[in-house]
Order: sequence, then structure tokens, then C-alpha cells
Amino acid sequence: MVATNEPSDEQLLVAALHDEDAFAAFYARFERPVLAFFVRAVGRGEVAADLTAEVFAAALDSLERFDPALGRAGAWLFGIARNVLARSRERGRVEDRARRRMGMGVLTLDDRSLERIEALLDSGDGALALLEELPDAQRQAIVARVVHERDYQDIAGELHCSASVVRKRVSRGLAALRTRMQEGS
Amino acid sequence: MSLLLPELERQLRAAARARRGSEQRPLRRARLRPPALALATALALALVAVIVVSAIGGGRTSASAAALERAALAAQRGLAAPSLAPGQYWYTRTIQASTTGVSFYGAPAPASAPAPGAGARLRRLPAPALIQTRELQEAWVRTDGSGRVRNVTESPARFFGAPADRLRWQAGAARAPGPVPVDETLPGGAGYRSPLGPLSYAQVLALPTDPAAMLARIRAAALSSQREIRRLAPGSPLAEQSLTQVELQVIAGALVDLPLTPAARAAVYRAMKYLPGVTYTADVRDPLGRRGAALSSPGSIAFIDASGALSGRRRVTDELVFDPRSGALLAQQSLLDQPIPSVGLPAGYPVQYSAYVVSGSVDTTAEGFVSRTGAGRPRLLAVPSAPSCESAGPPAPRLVGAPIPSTLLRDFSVLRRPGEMPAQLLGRIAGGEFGFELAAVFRSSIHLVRSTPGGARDYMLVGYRAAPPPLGPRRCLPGLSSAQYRHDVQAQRRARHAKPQAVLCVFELGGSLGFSCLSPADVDSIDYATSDYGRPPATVTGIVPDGVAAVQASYPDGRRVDAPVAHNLLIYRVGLPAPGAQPSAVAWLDARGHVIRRLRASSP
Repeated sequence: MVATNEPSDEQLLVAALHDEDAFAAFYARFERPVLAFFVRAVGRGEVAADLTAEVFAAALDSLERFDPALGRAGAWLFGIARNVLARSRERGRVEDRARRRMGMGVLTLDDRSLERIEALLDSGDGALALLEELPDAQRQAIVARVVHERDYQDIAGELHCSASVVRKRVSRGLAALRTRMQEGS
Repeated sequence: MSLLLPELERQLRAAARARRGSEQRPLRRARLRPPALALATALALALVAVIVVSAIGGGRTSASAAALERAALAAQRGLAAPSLAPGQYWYTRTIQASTTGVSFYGAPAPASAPAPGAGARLRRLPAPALIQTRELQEAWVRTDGSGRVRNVTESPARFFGAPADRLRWQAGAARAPGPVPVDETLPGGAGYRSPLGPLSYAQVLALPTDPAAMLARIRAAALSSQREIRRLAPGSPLAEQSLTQVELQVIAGALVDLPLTPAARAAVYRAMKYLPGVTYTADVRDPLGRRGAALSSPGSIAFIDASGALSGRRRVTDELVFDPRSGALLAQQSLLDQPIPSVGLPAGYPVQYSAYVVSGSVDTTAEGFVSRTGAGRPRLLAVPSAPSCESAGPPAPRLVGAPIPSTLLRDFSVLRRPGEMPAQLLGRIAGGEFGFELAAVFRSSIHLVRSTPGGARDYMLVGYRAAPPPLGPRRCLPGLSSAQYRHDVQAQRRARHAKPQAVLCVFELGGSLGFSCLSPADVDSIDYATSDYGRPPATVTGIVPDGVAAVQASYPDGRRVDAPVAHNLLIYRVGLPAPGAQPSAVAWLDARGHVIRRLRASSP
């Protein structure tokens, strides 16, 4: 059987320039993290949904500006998310410029959807989203240690470094995550 | 995991479709130019004193100094570009191309085809291709900043590691929409945008005519740009460019985007005499085939990492090409120092370039500028691209009525059940969808083996593996040495004359598992198909022979997954991203749970 190399987030964004499926796949990957980020920031499902719609519309609108040579797709998307949040807070209403530019309509949400979105508040997806923004080395160390609960020696073997380096990466990464989560809230 | 906002996904798809139709918005000017940054005036002034001293400390060899002086004198006589009169437009025509983008899947499927799962489409064409995107931009900017910009973007050339990958691409690309021009009207007041900052016409006229002062202005803009890039993208290839490289980009922007006075244009050329660390070449060709002289500096280019062959950076030579006879800037180009055989790129190929076709003054936005130096209108078609190697792609698999080969019937009980004739799947086969994988499909071998609550259906079928498509002429594979080419042609000939090999395949209709095949000879290897885009959990699919009731898959991190087998099909989900979802070891279990065979992956 032939195994397939799945595209990275960056590859999906590049492909999205010419293929809506690639953008849809990118959206599917980041829908929950972005929603969770906004639910944590604003506490209300419908506002989070609108902000999320604006972020993806803005991302779609500025696909050309994404340069994989300059950084990770997750960091780029969350950079947009922070801007959208900041602008919306400044103006006192949810930013909708990108959605209008892209000719996108208003989202209709039922109670069930809202519940599922607000449930993200407790799911920890927000922290996972912020993980995307960490440098690779820290992210790998945290995923291995905290998410997969592997021991330091084991992770050190995989990452070709010493266990004390892994400990440092995990602790630095977690400290950075805490700071970012405080910034976001 | 289902989407929380499926309506948003639908809206985004529609927006993406609409956007693709009119996607030719003005593109960023790749990496050949730094972003046009507003200068902090105080900072610029503070830098001037320091810079003048270091500038005069430089100095070029006599050949380059002579060529630059010749260009300066020609510019001063107004040969490069005439002055702009009030009410006139500054017209520029530029072709920019970049061949650093890797795509890993095919062009859009035809609109009439049933929409497969997104995963299926990516899985079907997994080979990386290097894509050249090329943009023709024309701009008309009047002294008040108003005007017009017209862009046409296209992706004219693609480079592939294997000829079969090119054929796969072409089979889809023939149905892709062509380039769409976009026309925009510029409102007044914006000024001229260049790496020296947005400048009003009055500010352009006030630019220095003294070489040292001009160099100070260029260096201040370059330093400011470099600082901003390092702040925004620390550690990126752009951030690691030398100051000289950035200065060359600022110079190109100034010479092309601004209606400089002849004296200021001459000052730019004279300032170039003082750039440190550049090499002068007297006779080069630009991407349009025009002859000129070049100042060059070493650089590197990052390719998008879609395959091992293209990850990381490649060394390039960045050249600024000018015509000493007229003082016109011809192009900026980044030429590959070494070939990249895996995608067929030869050494010296301009992986990125901006060719300045022409610039000058015109009276209306309906008119283009014809060079007044006697060279006539430049040829627009001589842009380097991949050799033309069009091909129709492989034929659709034949549906054959012959009995299924007995070896397969013996080992896979699913094939001994009565077969089915699902119209949708037959339509996909007849439409040529599996042509790259299969030359023929046994009509009686099609069996539904699984349906999901989401509406996906998995089918098993038996076919003969397709022979590799024709390699194409030698000129289509510029990166291959003659010896490699001969070897590949022979290997292909052997493959085409080999006995057809029957394979057992699984295909998912309406889902994202895609299509994968197994040769009976490989039945005891662990090389399962994995699906879903990178995010865990991945779905793992395998085919196992009769007698295997379940499989226990082990992973390097210690996790184990017990997966049942039904109709010779093994499907399970594992909480790992797809690339790492291949198990390192597998135990086949019989119906009583006893291990009947243990297998280890050959390459963990």
C-alpha cells in the first residue's frame, strides 16, 4: 500500500491559492483552535463565531501575503486573529471588513451550535491553539511531554538532545504559553 | 471530528471559488524587493553622516566603474527615460516570476466530476511539483498619484521530479481556468510607491543628484527595511540578506518605480560604484534575453518544504542587470548556483526575477510605452519557462469481463462474493480517474466492503497495474543527465513489457480515504495507507488475507491499537498525525485472538 505524505498547514495555504478544497481543509484544521481562542477572549459563542468568520475571511483575502519562508501558518493565522480581536475591541463591534470584501453573508447559529462552541471554553483547545505559535523545538517538547505524557529521556532520544534540554524547552514553552494565555484573556 | 460551523465552511468555499475567478489582484513583489517602508525622517538624517564616510571608502574595479559611469552618462542624457511632463503618466511594464512554490497535488478537478472528499483529491496526486507563477504588471501613475494598474497572473511553468508526475498534472491542468487580468484605478494622493518610501512628485524631483547623498538615501532606506524585516521575521532568509543585497533591491525600485530626473538617475548609477561586496560581470542575459552588464552578490533562496528534495535553501546569485548604453535597468534575477535534478531545474535558472520591460512617460492610461532608444518594443514572449511537453495523460482503465486471477481469489474471500456494479464508481473509472494506477479493472471484482454513517462507501476492486506513461523527449527533463535519462528509458521499457501485475485496491467514494492498491506479493509488508490532513486522529487502511480476524498495531511511542478486520479490510483510527500513523510492528490475530504472524516495518 502506498502511504501518503499529508500536506503541512503551510502547504495547504499555498495550495489554497488555487484550490478551495485546500482552504476548506485548512479551515477544518484551525476552526476549533480559533473558535476556542475567541471564546476564551470574549466568552460568548456568537461573537466568537463572528470573529472566527472574519479571521478566515481575512486569511482567504490575503493568501498571497502568506510566505511559508517567513513563518508557520498557525502563527500567521493567530496573528490575524489577534489583530481582528484588537480592532474589534477598539471599535466596540465585531470587525467585518474582510467578510464584506469577500461577499460573505451573516452566519446563522442555532442553540446547539452555540453550546458546542461555548463548550470549547473548558476543552483546553485554546492552549493547543497557542501551542501553534511556539517555536518548533518547544512545541515538540510540550506535545511529547504534556499531551502524550512521555518521559523526558524518551523525548530526548527522539529530539536528539539531552533530557535536561527537553526539560528546559518544556518549562520555557509552558511559561510562554501562560504569558500568551494571560495576554489573550 | 465534525465542523462546528459548517455554514462558515460553505461560505468560505464560495468566497474561495469567487476569489479564484478574479484572483489576479496585484501580487506582492515577491522577495526581490523589500516592502516599501515609510522612512523615519529623523532616523534617515541621523544615518546620513555615518554613511557618507563609509561610502567613499568603497570603490569598484575600473571595469565596473567605467560601465556604471557610462550608464550614468546615458541616463543623464535622458536615454533611459525621458522626464515626465505635467499631466503625463509614468508608465512601467514589469514581468515578475517566482519558481519557488511547491505544490503537492494536482490542478482542480473538472467541475462536472462528483466532488470527492478533499483528502481524496490530495491523496490521488501526492507528488510535489515546483510551480512558476508569473505576473505581468503595467502601471500608469500621474504626477498627482492617480492612475491605473493592470495585472495578469498565470502559472505558466511547472517542474516535476518524475515525468509521470508531469502527466498527472497536465491531465488536470488542461481543465484549469486560464489567467484573468485585473484592472484597478488608482485614486490620487497616494504618490509614487518605491522602496525609498511613498513620494509625492515634488519629493521625487527633490531627490539628490550628488552620488554620495544618493547613496546615503539608498542605504538609509535599506537599513530601515532590513531592520523592519528582522523585526517581523527574525531568522528568515529575508532577514539574513546582506545590506548590499537590500541596497540593490532599493536601487532597482528607485530606478523603475520613480520618474527620476535624468540627473537623479545618473546619481543612482554613480552611487552603485560604492557598494561593497558586489561582483561585476560585463556580459549577461536578462530573463527576456536582453544583453546587459550585472552587479551580483551571493544569496540563497528558500523553497517551500514539500519534499526532501526541496527542503532548505539553495544558493543563488542575485544579479542586477542594466544596460550601460542606455542607463536602463533591465532586471533583477536570482540564478540557481547548482541544478536541482529532482525537479528538473538546471543551474543558472532564474528561480526568481523581475524583468523591467519598459518604463517611461505616456499621455493616457490607454497607451503603453515604446522604447525611444531605438531598440523597439521588447519581445514579451521570450520569458523562460519549462519546455513544452504536453501530453494527453494515460487512458482510462479498461473494464474487463475476464475472471479474477486465481491467486487473489484464493487469498481474499471478499472477492469470492458476488460482485456489484455501482454506477457512480463505474462512471469514475470510465472517466479516467484511476488511469495512473490501473490499466484495467476486473468487472466482477468490485465489492462494497464498508459504509460509514457519514455516507462514505469503501469498495475493493482488482485491476492490472498501469505501466508508467511515456517518459517524454529528453528536452522535457533538463535536470536529468544523459546517463540517468537512458537508464530511466530502459527501466520504463522493461516495465512496459513486463507481465501485467494484478493488484487489489481499496477506494472510498464520498469520503477522504482515497485510493490505494496492494500487490499480493507485498501482503506481508506493513505499508498502510494513512488519511486525513495531518491532524490526529489519522485513519489507517490496510488489506489483509483470509484468516486474519484482527490486527494489533504497535507504535514506537508504546501505544497499541487493536483493529478488527472485515472483508479483508483493516481500518482503524489512531491519535497521531497522518505522517506518523504507520505502525512499526503488527501482529495478525486469528478469530480466537491467537497471534498467527508478526510483522515489522522495514523502515520505521
